[in-house]
Amino acid sequence: MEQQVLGKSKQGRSKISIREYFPIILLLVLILGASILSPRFFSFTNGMVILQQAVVLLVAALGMTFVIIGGSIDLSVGSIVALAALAAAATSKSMGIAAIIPAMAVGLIAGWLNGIIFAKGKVPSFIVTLGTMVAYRGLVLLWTRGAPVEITNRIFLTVFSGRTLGVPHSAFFGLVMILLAYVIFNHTVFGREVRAIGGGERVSILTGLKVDRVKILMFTFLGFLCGIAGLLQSARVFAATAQLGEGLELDVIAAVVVGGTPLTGGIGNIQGTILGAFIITILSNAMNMVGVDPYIQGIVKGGVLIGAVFMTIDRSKIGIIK
Amino acid sequence: MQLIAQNISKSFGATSSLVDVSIILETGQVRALVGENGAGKSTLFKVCAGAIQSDSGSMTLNGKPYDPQDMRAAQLAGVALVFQEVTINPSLDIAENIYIDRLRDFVGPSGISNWKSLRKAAQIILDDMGANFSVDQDINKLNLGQWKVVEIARALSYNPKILLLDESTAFLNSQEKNALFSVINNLKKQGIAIGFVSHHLDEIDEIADTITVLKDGEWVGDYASGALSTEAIEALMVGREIGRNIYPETRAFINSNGNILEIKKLTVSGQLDGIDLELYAGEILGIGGLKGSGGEAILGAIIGDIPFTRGEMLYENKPYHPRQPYDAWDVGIAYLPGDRTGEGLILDYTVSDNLSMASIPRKGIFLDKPAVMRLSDKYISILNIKAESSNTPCNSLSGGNLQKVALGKCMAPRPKILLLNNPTRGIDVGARMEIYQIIRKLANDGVSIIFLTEDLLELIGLSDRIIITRMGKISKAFKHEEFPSEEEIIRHMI
Repeated sequence: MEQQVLGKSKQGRSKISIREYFPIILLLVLILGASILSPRFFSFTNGMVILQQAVVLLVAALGMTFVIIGGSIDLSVGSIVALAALAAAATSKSMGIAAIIPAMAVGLIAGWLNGIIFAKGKVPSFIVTLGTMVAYRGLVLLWTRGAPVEITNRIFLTVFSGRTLGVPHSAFFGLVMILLAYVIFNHTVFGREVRAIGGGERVSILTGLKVDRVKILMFTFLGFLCGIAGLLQSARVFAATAQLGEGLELDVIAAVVVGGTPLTGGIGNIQGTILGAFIITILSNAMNMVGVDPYIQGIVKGGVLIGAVFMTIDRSKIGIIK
Repeated sequence: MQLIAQNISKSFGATSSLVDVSIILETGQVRALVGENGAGKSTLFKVCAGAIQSDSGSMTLNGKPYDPQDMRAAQLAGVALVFQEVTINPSLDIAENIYIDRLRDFVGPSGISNWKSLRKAAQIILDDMGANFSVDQDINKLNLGQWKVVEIARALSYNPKILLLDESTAFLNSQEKNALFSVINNLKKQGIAIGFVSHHLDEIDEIADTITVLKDGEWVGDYASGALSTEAIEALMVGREIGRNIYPETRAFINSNGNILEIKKLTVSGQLDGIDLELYAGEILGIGGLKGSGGEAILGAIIGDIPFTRGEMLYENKPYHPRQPYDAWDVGIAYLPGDRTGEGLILDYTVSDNLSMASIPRKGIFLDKPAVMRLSDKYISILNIKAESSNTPCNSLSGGNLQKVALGKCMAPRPKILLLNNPTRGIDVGARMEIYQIIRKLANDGVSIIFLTEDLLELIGLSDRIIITRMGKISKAFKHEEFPSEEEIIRHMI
């Protein structure tokens, strides 16, 4: 009897490990394949390009991981990034590197507003953020009237998009945000509560968790990270444009999901999202390097997303797949 | 028609629900199945009706091997079951609910549903049953008893040869019950074999021809109806005369001046109608009553999950008006929900995650991980939870251990009031006894407990004081040291 039980749990473990390691296997396969197909891919220069390309996606995806594990979704991340980029660009001339403050503040407020409407107004997060995605983008257009706001402040550009020994400074910011998100998720009460709410909201309510507050906080944290992402993006392209961050929400959600965090909530981790962000970035980068027809790239990306979820999803934990 | 089930065994995880049980359902006879909660009555019926598959054993229907893989196969073979649980879909109308899986039968040659013939067919069945409502009525305006009638009508619509009724009378009023009994008597004349589960032994006396007693998943015996006295049947169900001693000693003295909670004229629209209630420090107050009669609403209002429309509550002599469950937990009121898998626990999460959920040990904003471990180890040992480790996911635990985890979660914040909704539902006797001991110990340590139960023996055995709800009101408040009989309680329930 006991042996049988042990045997079962062993079997269970080996099944889990394939799922658990799938994102990293996919990433390694991707790197290997691209290196074979394009000699320029596996180089220091391209590595740094990938880092720079990945960091905006990654920083936003870290925050999205909390929201998705908490059982919600945020479609407005691209628009928040644009709004924050605009705040940074507009204030960079007078404030220099201190323009990080308005960028973060704008992100925080935009995320907080999402959270308030969602948690207090009891409107589904999908709808709230679908609305604010359009509204925040509208705010950007209203402000810029469609014209890009250029960044000319040298110090700002050096600090946020310069390089030291060839390594882009944005990578440093990315690393700090990874550590921040990792510690918050794994070592704070808030991280535990986010997981609990995503795993069983009704249970959490009846157990006396302050569910509304946690929900608002997780959207605010995502907004804050989008503020940083917007700042880095504006520095990278020397300007904030009205189109900046358009479609980013899909890449961000894809990065989280490919990293092994299902949209059903309750399960997932930060490490997976880091891998997911690099998978999405390297996939695009490699296809460009190899010279895949841009018209085919979308099809490949979509296929990889579905394929990755097909492999990683734990169907025993998710009873009904919607 | 004759259904024979032989040597049926079934376990769920580590819990054996049926062990080597045999039963015969004879044509034109009603066989009653009696036993305590968790004795395996429902499981046996579900096996017969193909809702679940047995681990071992065999069945024959009219002498032919019968092994239904699902309910559909059983229905086609002529075996229909009315579940104990409510299976009405309130977004469909009455006729659609009756023919829920055969709506295609009413599609005309043009491919368009013929609602008229559907309603007509449904109405005929309802009329035969003597139902006091028609198919045109709004299903959401019917009461639970009428829903049960719809479910029985659904079972009859299969033209079954074997009809299994699992506690179908629990929510019926006497008129509906008499109508059902006359339907059953009619079906008997037509040669249909009927299996019947009820907790009310007087009903069984009235309708059954033979009785099978089950206890803890095992067959105790088959008897002719009327051959045994009610007391004798009860003794068989409980197993031993000392059976009632699974409950700990009640409290000899309760300070009725020291109330911790006072409820005045509490009204929850549609559920509670001006209830007055006092809870004394350190007592175990048991609430009995039919499902939906008010007990759940009382607990829901105290924990802040159900908003009350009128009335007031005083907690430790101060006004208390919870808007959310955390308002209640904040001041020391904990709640164990009745549905431990959907509301009590997050099954995917570990024992430790669940045990610490209501009182996460912290250092500022950070988790105090060593303290989380200490907390979970403490409650695993206090509650004797059988798990490989505190990091085992809850979904690998048996029902009794799951309930202990849920109870431990409620104990961890050291509440002053503990609200328990059916704390031992579907749990084997061993774990139940342990849980009773824990509840009693908490009360002895000064925790005031309100518990709701559908099990009358438990209500009588565990409570220091009993109140009965009926249709949103307290129909009877027994005094401390007043221990009513089951019959007396039932009288106040219906």
